[in-house]
Amino acid sequence: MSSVKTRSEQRVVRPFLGLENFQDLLDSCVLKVQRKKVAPGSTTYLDSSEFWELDLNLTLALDQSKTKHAADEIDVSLQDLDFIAVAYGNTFRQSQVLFRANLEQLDSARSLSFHGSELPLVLRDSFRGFDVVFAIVLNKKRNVVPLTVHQVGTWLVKQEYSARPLVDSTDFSPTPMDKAMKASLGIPSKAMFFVQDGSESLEFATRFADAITVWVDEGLLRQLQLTNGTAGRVISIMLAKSAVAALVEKASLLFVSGDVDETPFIAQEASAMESALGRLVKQAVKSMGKNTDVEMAIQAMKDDPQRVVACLDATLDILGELTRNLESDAE
Amino acid sequence: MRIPLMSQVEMNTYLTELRAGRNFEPKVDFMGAEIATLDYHIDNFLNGLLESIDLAGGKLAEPGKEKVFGDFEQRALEVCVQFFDGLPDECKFEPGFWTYLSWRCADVIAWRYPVNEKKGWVDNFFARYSASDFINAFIPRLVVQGLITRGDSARSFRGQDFWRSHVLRVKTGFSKEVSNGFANIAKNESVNTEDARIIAKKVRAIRSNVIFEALDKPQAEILVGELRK
Repeated sequence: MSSVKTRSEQRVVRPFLGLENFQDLLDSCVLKVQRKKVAPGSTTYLDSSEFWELDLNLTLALDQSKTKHAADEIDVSLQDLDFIAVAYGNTFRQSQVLFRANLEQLDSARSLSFHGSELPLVLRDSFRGFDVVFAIVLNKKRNVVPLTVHQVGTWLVKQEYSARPLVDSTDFSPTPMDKAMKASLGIPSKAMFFVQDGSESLEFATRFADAITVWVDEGLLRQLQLTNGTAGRVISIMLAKSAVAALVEKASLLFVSGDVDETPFIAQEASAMESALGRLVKQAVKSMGKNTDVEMAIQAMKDDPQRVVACLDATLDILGELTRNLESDAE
Repeated sequence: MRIPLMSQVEMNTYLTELRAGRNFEPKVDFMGAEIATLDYHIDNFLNGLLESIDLAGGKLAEPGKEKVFGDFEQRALEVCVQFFDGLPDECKFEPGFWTYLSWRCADVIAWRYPVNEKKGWVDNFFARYSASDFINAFIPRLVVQGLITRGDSARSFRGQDFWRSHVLRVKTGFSKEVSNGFANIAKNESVNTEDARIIAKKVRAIRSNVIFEALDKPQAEILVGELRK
């Protein structure tokens, strides 16, 4: 098991006033995975077998006087607030409420454990992983007043956590193309490489492989799998580079056309950052160096995609993924 | 039968050979302990799909026709639900299992996603195949959530992409109650593409502030109803 901590969480700008007192309320809750404490906003990478032996533990220790104070500030009674923990399984898009309790009744610390036969199926998702969100939410509708929480289900504070399988070997594997395939793709029979739009848009795909298909001439691919030498390595790098360029170009188009709303990315919302597009944006931020934030990275993708490609080339794990696939395919 | 698995490499080779018109028997691996009914369960699934083609008036030997796909899918939905519900949990998250299964279903897939004569393989399901494609195509997520009973098809949302793009493939699709709200709209009225886009935008905005799982059924219905205004 390895744990990667993400950048320090940025405060999300939301259209409500008076929620500052809620912001730290969940800091006293502790989430443990495989008996190790995990940081809010982090992702843990697990072996597929670990998903089946998962031990997830949430210790809930809300300070009721602080909670009451926070609620008073926005004129809400504790009775109108619930603590909720939800698990999302990515493969089959299933969600399950793991725990829910009214804040008024939640007056002492609780420990929630999920393991062994008590482990819900959503938490066993060794294919695409799962997310856990815990939050304080409004449990009933209130009168609509601008800048106040009113919609039932609105969260006042939340924390998110993700678990993903360690290596997704099906991610981004080059697909061999023969003459017939090239003809139907409408490319010359001597073409060696082609990037085709995948079955899902980058915005919705969870894996790069769903957003683009990388076709490689079948003879060349066989050679690559057999050669361990420098030539094979250089060609692999060129393939990776073309794939990265195709991805950035697609992302650029999405942002320029306005088809994708930039706000959730800039706010670094987990649902946006988890998508293939979000991962690409995150990688761009990282590769463009210090003092780059998400907004700047998106702007760069729009204005000067080739520069982003060059930065990404240096760092993006696509190269690693392709290389790993080539190596594992050769076995 | 132990859990059958097929690697993506075997699958890719199989597909390359298939396109070239050659036969190729891909290698199948097995893992885990013996599961007595698995064999039977898979056969049952296949038979159910074949029967659905039959009942929809299609012929496996001929490429499927657009006009019978709707009927086929409604029947196949039920087959998929039963299959998924009865599938041992150990199989569910094994990509290799789904790859194996799609190999077993190759004839059905070839019928449902026929090769376009003009365009060739390009739009064919197998042209860019992965285990998750199979899950997306044959185990619709709404079905998995037990939302859609027979006949509640999502089709009346004009611009069917609304479901794919704005419910099923984003976080909205995780919420049984909210997705169900959309299914209800779709059952009662036809929503044009323009309206569907507006709804999608509103859902996205609300989703960033609201945890849909915190809503019960009536609350979700009210929420979706308000989006429609």
